[in-house]
Amino acid sequence: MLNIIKMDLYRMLKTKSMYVIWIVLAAILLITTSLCKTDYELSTEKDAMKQEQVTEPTVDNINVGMMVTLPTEPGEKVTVYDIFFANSQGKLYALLLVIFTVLFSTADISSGYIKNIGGQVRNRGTLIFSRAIALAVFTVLTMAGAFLFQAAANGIFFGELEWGNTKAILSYFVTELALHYALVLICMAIAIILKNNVISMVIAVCLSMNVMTIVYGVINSAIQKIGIQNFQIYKYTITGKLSLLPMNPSGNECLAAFGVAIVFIVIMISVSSVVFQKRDI
Amino acid sequence: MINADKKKEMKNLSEMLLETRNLTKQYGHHKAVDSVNMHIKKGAIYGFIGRNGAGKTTCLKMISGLSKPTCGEIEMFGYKGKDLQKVRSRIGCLIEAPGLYGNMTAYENLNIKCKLFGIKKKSYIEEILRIIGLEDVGKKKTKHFSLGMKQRLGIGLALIGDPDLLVLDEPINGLDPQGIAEIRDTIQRLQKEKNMTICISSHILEELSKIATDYGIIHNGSLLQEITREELIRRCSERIELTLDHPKQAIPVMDSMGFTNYQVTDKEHIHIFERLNESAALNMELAKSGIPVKGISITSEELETYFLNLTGGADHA
Repeated sequence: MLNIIKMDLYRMLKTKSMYVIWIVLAAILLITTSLCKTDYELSTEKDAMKQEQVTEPTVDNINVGMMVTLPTEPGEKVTVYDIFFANSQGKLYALLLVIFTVLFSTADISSGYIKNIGGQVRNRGTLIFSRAIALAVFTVLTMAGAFLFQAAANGIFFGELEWGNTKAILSYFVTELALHYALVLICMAIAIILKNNVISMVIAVCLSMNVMTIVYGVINSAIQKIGIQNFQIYKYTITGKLSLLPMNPSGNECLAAFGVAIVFIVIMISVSSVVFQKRDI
Repeated sequence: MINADKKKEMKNLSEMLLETRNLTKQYGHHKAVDSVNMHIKKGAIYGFIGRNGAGKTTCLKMISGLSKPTCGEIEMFGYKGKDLQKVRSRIGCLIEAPGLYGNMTAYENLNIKCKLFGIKKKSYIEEILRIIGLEDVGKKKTKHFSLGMKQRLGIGLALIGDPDLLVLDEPINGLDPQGIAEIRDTIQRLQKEKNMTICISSHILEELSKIATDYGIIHNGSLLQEITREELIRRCSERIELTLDHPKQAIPVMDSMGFTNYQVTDKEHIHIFERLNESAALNMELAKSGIPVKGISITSEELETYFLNLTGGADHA
């Protein structure tokens, strides 16, 4: 098993798209930080109040698509955490993570390399587990790297470095990490089941952009018609949790998000493994 | 007490590296492979012959563990059923086109699979590159390789882990004569130097006939015949072909004339592989014995003709 993990990590490190994704992420972080600085300097107190109202995530104002909005209150300094949170709510990390996930998960299938190894492992499901480990490494490196790069970008554009509330950063970062990883595994499962890069990529991008909100709305009203009032499916989905996690999450909110993430992680790895094990190469 | 036949049968079984029993693969209502009983001896180069779409690749995929049989059984290295998983790593395969990462070098492609087997020695990969004749490709990405180079790298990938059985599906497809010769040399070298058992499929019969020691002929998903190289040569060689209503009646006459190397092939034909210039005398002796001869001729067959006759004639090819 360890050898298979080493193989997938080596494959990931040799994949050009990983470095391209990181370069694109770095470029976007520089652009968003620059734009945030401009916004921050131009905004009036009134504008800022309005901004605060829309950046506090609730089930009624979940954004579809990408939108980076600075949550910094008027008169306060822009922290690294502010822009990291803004980018996370803007689905920047989710988008780039799922793009790489689809490319990486199907690379051996689309290139045919899987034929060289698929018959020689005792249990083909282990190949799924190993790429899930590799994607976990990628998710951690990307998000931790993004946070550190954000610090550098803040230093460059704002001329000073304010990290923000350490406790809030830690609880938000770790919870977001788990949720993003669960989203990555959902996209991995889709890519493996569909075996089609284009369709998988479209679905993955739509998922990360909250396009499922439309479907969730239908499900909500259907369940509410049955008699379960105030039911919100967002609370039980990864994309919903990603959108609804506040900037200062409570312990219960973090636990609930972790619970949902773990359930999805286990289900996605199990489903992908079973499909990959049973399907002919 | 075990009699001689039983002993011989047991010896044959111990020499057998792979055996399939009623191996079948069905897609919907179509049987791509239908009850195939294949036998590959240790150290053999097994030529798997069949037209495009005959079921070669499907069969080889099942042997390589890339595809699950609908029914039937595979026995390899003495293992079968669930125990087969224990010996999966002893098979190396190149199925259809070689699966390579185009943005990586030959070394990196080989190194990925080496990681799977826990092989860390740089010299191991260099040795494989030498065997397949790609030691000088350097940092060239495999997407810039010629088809022949890709095929050789595919064989190189199959060699990682020192497999006992190498399964090669159409490795010479699309290659120029020089590329074909290179692959042929590589295969023969592997069989000699590493005593590897090799199963190689192709529809280019002349090429296969240069290296194979045994043949399996598959057509429409069914294995029509398994035959040794010697037997195939004998069947294709020059011979007297005798056509009679009752071939068995002619046997005493032939025996009395001293013919020993002959074979009753079906209900009407006898093939005689010796003394080809005595066909007239044989005809006279048969006539004297009151055995009507419907036809007598001296014929031979190309391997291709033999194959076409077996699989339903050239009109289908």
